[in-house]
Amino acid sequence: MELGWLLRGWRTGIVTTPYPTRPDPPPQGFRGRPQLDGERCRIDDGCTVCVEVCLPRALRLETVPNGLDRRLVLDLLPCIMCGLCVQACPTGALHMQSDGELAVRSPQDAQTIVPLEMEVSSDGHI
Amino acid sequence: MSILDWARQVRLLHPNEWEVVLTPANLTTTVEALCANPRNHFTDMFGVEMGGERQLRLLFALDSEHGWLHLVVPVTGDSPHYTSLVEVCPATLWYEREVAEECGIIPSGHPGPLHLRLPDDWPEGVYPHGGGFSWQDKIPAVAPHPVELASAPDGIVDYPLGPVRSGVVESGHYLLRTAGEELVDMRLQLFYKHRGIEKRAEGCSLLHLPLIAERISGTSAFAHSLALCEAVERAAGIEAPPRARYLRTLFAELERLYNHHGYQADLCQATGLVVGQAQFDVLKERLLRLNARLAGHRYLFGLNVPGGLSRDLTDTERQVIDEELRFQRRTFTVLEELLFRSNSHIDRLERTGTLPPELALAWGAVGPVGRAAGVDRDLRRDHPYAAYAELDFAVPLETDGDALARARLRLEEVRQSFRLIDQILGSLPSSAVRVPPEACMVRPGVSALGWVESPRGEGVHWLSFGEQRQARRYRVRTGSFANWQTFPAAVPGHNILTDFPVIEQSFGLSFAGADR
Ligand code: SF4
Ligand code: SF4
Repeated sequence: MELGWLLRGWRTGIVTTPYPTRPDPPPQGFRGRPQLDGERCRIDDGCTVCVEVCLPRALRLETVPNGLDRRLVLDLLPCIMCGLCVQACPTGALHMQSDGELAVRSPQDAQTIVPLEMEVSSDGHI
Repeated sequence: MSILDWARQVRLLHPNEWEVVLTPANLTTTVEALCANPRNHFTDMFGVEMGGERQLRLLFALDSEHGWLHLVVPVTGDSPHYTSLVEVCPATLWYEREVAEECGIIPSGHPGPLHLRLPDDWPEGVYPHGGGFSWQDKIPAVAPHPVELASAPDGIVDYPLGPVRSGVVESGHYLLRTAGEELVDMRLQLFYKHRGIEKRAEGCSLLHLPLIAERISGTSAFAHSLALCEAVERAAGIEAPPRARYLRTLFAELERLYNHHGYQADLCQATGLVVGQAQFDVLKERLLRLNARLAGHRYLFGLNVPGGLSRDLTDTERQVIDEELRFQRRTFTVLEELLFRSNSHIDRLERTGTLPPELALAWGAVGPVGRAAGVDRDLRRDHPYAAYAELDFAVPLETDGDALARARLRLEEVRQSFRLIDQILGSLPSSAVRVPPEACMVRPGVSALGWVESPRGEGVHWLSFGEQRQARRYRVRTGSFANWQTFPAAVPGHNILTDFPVIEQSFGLSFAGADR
């Protein structure tokens, strides 16, 4: 082998990072994953803007197993980290985290759920 | 006389984009006449069904006119036929098979009318782009009906390779026919990664279309979303602001750079030059990290939007690019010199995997593969888009058509990309980077073409809109699709163990891009 390569390799030294022993955070502005803040979400007021812009249906309205209530679900498994929901949300309830560590232990861990409070009238009907 | 004078019913659709409507009976003579001029190039062929009417559509690049010509052939009946064009234009071979299986328009006299992209268990008579099929429809299950190939004659051994292989190689299957260690022939089975991307785009709004285009091939995400956005902008009759056009050029060249570094790294891996591989991978990784900083995504997803770009470049970022470019230039010069001093590497490339220039031209090879075999075409120069018309760069050309020519060509292209980026950073106009979304409005029923010289060759996107301004039909011809057709021609006569990996890497093709 051409000796120059050896020299070149030696001069370059180690360029791989010691991640995960030491953190190697992505740069600012990196689109890691969307995060949903239930406190700021206005789904109760009928807002479904994010559900409408999400192409892979990672944000969706679901019926709770009791068959009555509904909830907003952000599911990171189908999410493609496009950030369209963040741009569209009128209340700032969604934002993009620059975090690149996306592994979860179970599919449920990848979900954020905002329950939808139903107005219940005095006779018990919704 | 130019084809535009010759054809009487040519209609101008958009600047540099013409259309002529033909009957199946006069298609062959028209294609023959077009192919007689070496400056006209067959680019694409596909079927369309709109409002119950089926059309066979061909696209030619008219380099002398810097324009594009659509041939539109309306067809009728349950099983419409036309005379196969393979004899007058060999490059149509795969395209005709695709049209037949996806639209049910049959080429009479095709030399090998088999399925191309659809899997073995796809039911007969179900056409993804015909018969009102929707991507949400369930496909009835049928027993697989694989094609039985004739077994090898005595003394010849068929060696199957893939589709699952080591490393991060994409899925593709080669049937290598060998006599001892010598390759005598090969068969190619691609399309394991066919995801129906074009079909999925149907019904999508302008907001979502770039997301789809980016996923055709991750390593050409910016190129494909650019071609798509250019098509949308042409359909809307607008142009991206000057700053966006320059920045799009910048990102397109950054994409070319990291791809070309990755290419040299892969080629070094094929010849066993591990330090060279690591060195080029370092350059590539630095660019991916730069991309992440500039675009929020290592592969530049999410940047292109109809009407411009989703984000601007700050002055600090401009300096960061400038500094990185200086590092890249310095290192690249050293690495290039080392490559040419490494006989163990160069000898393996020389006269390996030769694609003869006449074959490259006849089979429509594009991009670096075509230019390494004397096909002097580059959409950036011949059909300028983004800001290329305002910038100064050369289009390198090689004529040997072997692996060495392909590697040398890409090295020179890297230098030209450096030049382009330098000019862009020095002359970046100040303006908005996006026209307001309400100004980017397509008329219902309009269609338009977008094109790009991606790192792997020309990508051409055709987009037609429906009444609700949603995509009605999306068609993508990638550089890899065009070049895969030429690949088997470069293989016979070589050694299966030592040469085949080099030939494969030297073409530098994408499976996902071809499969769509
Ligand atoms: S757009 Fe924002 S406020 Fe509206 S439902 Fe979604 S997260 Fe909640
Ligand atoms: S980032 Fe994109 S895919 Fe993910 S939830 Fe938001 S809109 Fe949906």
